Amino acid sequence: MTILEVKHLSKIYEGRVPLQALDHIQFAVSAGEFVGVMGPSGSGKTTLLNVIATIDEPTAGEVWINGTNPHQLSRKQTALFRRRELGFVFQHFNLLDTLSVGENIVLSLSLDGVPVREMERRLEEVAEKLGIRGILDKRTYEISGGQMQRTAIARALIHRPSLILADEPTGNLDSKASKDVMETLDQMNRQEQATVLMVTHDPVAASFCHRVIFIKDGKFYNEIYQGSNRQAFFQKIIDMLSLLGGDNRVLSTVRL
Amino acid sequence: MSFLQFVYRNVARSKRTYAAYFLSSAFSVMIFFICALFLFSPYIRGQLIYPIVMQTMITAECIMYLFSFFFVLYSVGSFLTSRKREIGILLMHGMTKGQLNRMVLMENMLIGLGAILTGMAAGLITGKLFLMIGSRSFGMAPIPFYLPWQALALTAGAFVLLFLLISVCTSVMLRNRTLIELFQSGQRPKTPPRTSGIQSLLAAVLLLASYALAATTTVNTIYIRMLPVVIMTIAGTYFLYTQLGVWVVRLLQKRRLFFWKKTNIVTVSNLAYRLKDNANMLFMVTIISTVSFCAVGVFASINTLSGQFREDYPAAVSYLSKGGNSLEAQHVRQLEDELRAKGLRPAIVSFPVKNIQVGLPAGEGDRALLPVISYSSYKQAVEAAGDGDVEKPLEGIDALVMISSERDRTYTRIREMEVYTLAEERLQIREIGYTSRVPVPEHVLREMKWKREGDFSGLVVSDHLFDRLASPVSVDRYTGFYVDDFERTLGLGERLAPRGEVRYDAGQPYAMTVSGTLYVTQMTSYRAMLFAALLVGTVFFIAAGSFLYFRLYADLDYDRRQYDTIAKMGLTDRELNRIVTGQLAMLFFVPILLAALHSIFAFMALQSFYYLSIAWEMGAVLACFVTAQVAYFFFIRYNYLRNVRKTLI
Repeated sequence: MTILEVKHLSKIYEGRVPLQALDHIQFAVSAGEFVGVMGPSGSGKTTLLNVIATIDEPTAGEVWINGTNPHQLSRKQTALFRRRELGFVFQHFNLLDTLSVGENIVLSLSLDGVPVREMERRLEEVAEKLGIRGILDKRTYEISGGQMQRTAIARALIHRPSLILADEPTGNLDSKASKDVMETLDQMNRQEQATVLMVTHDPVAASFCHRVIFIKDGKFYNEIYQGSNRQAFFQKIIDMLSLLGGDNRVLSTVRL
Repeated sequence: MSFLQFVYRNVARSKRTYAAYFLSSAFSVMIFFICALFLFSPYIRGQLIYPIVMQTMITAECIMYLFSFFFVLYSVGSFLTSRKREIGILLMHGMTKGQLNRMVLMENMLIGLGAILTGMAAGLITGKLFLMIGSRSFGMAPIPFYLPWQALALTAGAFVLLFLLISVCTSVMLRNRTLIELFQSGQRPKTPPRTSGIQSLLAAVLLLASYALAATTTVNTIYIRMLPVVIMTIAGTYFLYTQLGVWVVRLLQKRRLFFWKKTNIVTVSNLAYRLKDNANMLFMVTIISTVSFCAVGVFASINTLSGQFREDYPAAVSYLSKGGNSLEAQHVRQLEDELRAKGLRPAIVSFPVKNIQVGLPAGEGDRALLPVISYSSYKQAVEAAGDGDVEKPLEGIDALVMISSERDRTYTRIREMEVYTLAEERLQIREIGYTSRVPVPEHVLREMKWKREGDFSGLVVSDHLFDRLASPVSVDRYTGFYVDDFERTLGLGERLAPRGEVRYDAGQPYAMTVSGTLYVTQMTSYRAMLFAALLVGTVFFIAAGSFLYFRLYADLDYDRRQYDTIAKMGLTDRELNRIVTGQLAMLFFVPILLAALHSIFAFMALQSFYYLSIAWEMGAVLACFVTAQVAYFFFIRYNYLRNVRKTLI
């Protein structure tokens, strides 16, 4: 079953110098798939994610998520759609420091008016899976970056959305925490059949995906599949990045 | 970019932060300037009411100045706190301490001078309006607009000095901060305030106790209770916000059924997060609002006294000739002639007043002189005033205590009845009650000074007993002139009583009151005080509003980021409205309602001073303030929502 379908998506930023951020992007993501989007800086990754997340409007083309085109909904319906159908994981975690870890996780359920019993039950469940039961009553400034991101993942999962959108989830973490977080995402993907679309710079993070889509200058460039071996997949990603020639930092790792 | 330009841009580009502070300062300047206009107007000088207006205005100026000082000090302090990071960046780039101080000084002066100029300009524009309102409320002919240079100089000089002083104070505030402290100020999580159960309890106990004390105050305990009650209320309010408030919010957070319900989770947690900052601010807003409510309320209530003026001065002109006054006949004739010259037909009542020497009950001094009139004299006076029923004739040694004004009635509840013994005649006089009306206005008769409670002015005894008082110390003669329209006696008998009143103890051979003149001076002073209280109260109220504004806008960037996150997760416009409205309503109305509650109890205490009910006046004052606050709430809510939405998807 196709969860996300992107059809001829274009985005042009108007202005004194119009910028074509997306140029007829087209792809689909099936249920239970874990897809990465990579590309050099300025290639339009984040714009793509924002348009899919309904945070930004496309200039042309359509986005279908679980049979709905969210861009055709009213303002209010869009907000409710995001709340129910989408889960977000951000680079900067975007946890509310006014809330405790547990409260952050149940936030979307709260806003949706789910009964408290139900919220508590689901919180227990998701915290158990993510191994953050011990920190539910802690405040956001008392926990590490890895824990924050796992909290964010829990928040993205708790309402069982059709699609989880992750924007550089490892961008702010050290390598140990990155690995932790990616393994968690991977595990959630496998166990919960959660569909994940992740934008990333980090080839290690990308190597956890089933498939990685490369875009460059707003255009679809290539896509590669994991196959069976993550190590080999990692190498393929590196090769592809060097071919893309976007990021010097990434290129240098190739020569190691 | 010169240093001056840099400073100017610092200020001009954070207009939004300074807006309320600037406007509030400018408003204070404006009101200060307008009071100065009254003070130095040559058209008021030389009038009968000039001393009253001058006193009132000088008091108002002093209060406003003192308040402005603290207001500006606090505001500048909080601006600097919110700019710590910016100051850190400047210091890191090599700004010296001296330059920093100079920057802050120049910024302050820039805003200050702007506020002074704006305020004075606004004062010039609205000056005529206020002079008109003022002259109307003082009951004078319209005061022409005149711009005395003294008013300009006083306002400008006073406020320039104020801003300079504050700038010096701030350079002290800036001292002793390490760079790292400045940098981390924004990121360091705000530790939630500690609460202790005892202090929360203390808050409740203090407030309830002071309310109870205020509500049960009687006229003779008010002076003793006033100070402790005020201190208890202030302390109680402080603990209420910092302790009880935090405790309540904590409790709410623990109740998941409430806390996790829809937007409550965001509203309540925001509340809890900034509780410490908010608590201080709310405390201040509450106290300032209470002060302004009470000030306006007190002076609005004084006007109820005018309602009982007619009762206090039954005779339009009262004249008391002390024993041995040779000019009595001449004075009485003169007064009568003057009345007739005004076209008034006075009904004249005249009766003797015996001052007798009595021994006092033990412990209240030795002996005293007591003015006594006969029952038939009392009856004459009451009937002349046209008040109908008179008490039944007195018998035996019974006597009624004469009330000297309606105000005395409040004391009748607590005053104890006395029995007097006359030394020579072996007679006793027993007080059995109070006269139902004022027969002779206050200060015309000798007062019963030895009693603390009220100033009652003598006794009414039966005609028989009056005749038996054979050896009084002296016999005075009272003459009352009764007319229908007492206000027309304004200015009557000016040579005998220049201010409308000569008191018994003034050392003249006579005592008198002219009610028309007294009425005008009394009304003028009450209204002048009310007018000044309104001006000062408004200054306070607007300053309180400015604190609220600052609290909101200091955190706007943080709030925006927060709402942005929630909006990405899915937040409808209505839910955003609900969250913001909830938070704003709490900031705006909790202090104002608490202040109203404080004021209600203060007014209950105040009521013990008055015979007439002041509930209506108080209700009107509170309603006005609350309405103003509601309007301010909607205005800020609209702007704040617009500001938050600007960056939202």
